[in-house]
Amino acid sequence: MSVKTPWKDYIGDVPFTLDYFEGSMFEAVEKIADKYPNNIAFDFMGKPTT
Amino acid sequence: MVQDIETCAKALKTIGIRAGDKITIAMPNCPQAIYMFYAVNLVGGIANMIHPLSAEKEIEFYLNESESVTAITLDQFYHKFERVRQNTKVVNVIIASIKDALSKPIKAGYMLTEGRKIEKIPEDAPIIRWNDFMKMSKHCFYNYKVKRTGEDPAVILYSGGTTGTTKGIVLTNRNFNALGQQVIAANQMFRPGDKMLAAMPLFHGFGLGVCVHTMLSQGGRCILVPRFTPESYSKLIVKHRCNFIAGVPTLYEALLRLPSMDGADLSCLKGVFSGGDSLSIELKKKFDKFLYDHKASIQVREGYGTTETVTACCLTPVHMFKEGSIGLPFPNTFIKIVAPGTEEELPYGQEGEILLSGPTLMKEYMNHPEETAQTLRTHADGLTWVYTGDLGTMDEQGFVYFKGRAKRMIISSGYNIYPGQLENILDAHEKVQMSCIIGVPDALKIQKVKAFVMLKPGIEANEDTKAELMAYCRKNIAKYALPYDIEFRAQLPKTLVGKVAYRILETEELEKLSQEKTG
Repeated sequence: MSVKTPWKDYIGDVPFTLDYFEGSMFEAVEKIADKYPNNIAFDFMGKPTT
Repeated sequence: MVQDIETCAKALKTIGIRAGDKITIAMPNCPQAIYMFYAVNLVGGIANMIHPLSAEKEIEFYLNESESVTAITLDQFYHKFERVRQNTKVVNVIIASIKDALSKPIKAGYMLTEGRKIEKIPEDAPIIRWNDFMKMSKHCFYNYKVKRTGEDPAVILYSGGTTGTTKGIVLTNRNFNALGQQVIAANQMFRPGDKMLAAMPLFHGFGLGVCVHTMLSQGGRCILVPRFTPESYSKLIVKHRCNFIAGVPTLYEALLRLPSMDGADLSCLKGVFSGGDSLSIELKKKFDKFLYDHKASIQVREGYGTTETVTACCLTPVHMFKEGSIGLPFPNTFIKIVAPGTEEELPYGQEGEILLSGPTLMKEYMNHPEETAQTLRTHADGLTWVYTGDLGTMDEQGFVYFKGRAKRMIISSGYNIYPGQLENILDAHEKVQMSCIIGVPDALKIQKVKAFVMLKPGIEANEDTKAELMAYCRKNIAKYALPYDIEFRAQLPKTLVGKVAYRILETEELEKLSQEKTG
């Protein structure tokens, strides 16, 4: 028995499935930080941190 | 940021944190909380996320339930931790201060206003101050990184589940990483560098999962807000020109009425999300008009989920809206409607219990194998489903509609409050025979908490007793769940099976309110 997915034709540009990252939460953050080393990660009361 | 996380991880290693250790993080949204959260992850620990405004007894419960060995909180909450520390297995408490994360001019202003209100911590207090803690990193050189996989537990968040007993929900690295990818997939207009107003708290699935981890793992920028009012929230959206905001319906209701929003330019917004409570059709219309009047080209999109799936599982798509719907499932997420408590799937349009399945499904309830088995069930379709206890329907296009909660719960300003928990606390007081908690409608909070108490024989129902019970509540119940009033009754109404008939009390209170209005 398979599960019903009536929404499949109505999701527009949202993919039905994705390939998921299998590392840790830190690794996910580290990976993107390596890709965009100069981007600001967060601001706190007016102070930005890259 | 990554450097600070690594420094924090080395310091954790120096104070002896090992893989699998639990660290309680009782912090508002601030840089130290972010560093600590990811550092715990990096050394292979598990972050036990709790509300910094929790009452002392709740803190003690969270520390013991998770068997935390270390805790971090802010200076203003130090005394609560100090009073319960000896009843726990905590080895050390790290104390951070908001002022340490501020730029110089802001720090000066902060010390003159907020900073001076904070009760002094004795010089010889058994704590490690944040700056000293970070310096301990210099004693660690190697091997602080512990390899973890998607399957490994990473975070504990707390919820009452369907039974109302507070339980730790164990969530994995994969749960959070998958959520980040799903949220971005469902918002194709997102670009790295986009800003999200991170006002929802870190101890909440949405705050941690969407506002922070989705942004930080996908290249977004978080505007960290430790505490907010509708006024400050609206100012921050405008000041930072935020692209994504999220909130509970009561917050949006409050924004509508703010004079400070007159003429504000919200054309920066790409996504406005509503969750945590049902967004009424009327409020959605009003808020969409408000967005339009303030130059935003988008509309509010409602989502739905549970902490057992970190947070949102479905979201209203960008291109299609159906009145009253909470949207379509995220990628790889499945939703079905069954006859409550069963495996019997119902036809489209028929109301039943909402079940969820997908990569964000929790690992388990900590220390509650029976409740885990009741809530997570594997069906003949081969999928494991979470039984939400919420009622809903699905139409033939897969749009899901939320219809109500099967469980007894009060939602006040977006916080879930479980009457059963508060009754247990009140019933434990020596002067209380029996109690009953109900939700009373409130213009701003949607619902507020009221307690009915039947005192033990011989105890006088007077103002002194009321004051004593209120003080007891303040010590044992978190601020957001505190009863605004306690009413004494000689008897509490009962149901046929002898339970307190809370619905009768609710009806009585509603009648009283409508009489007050008309009278």
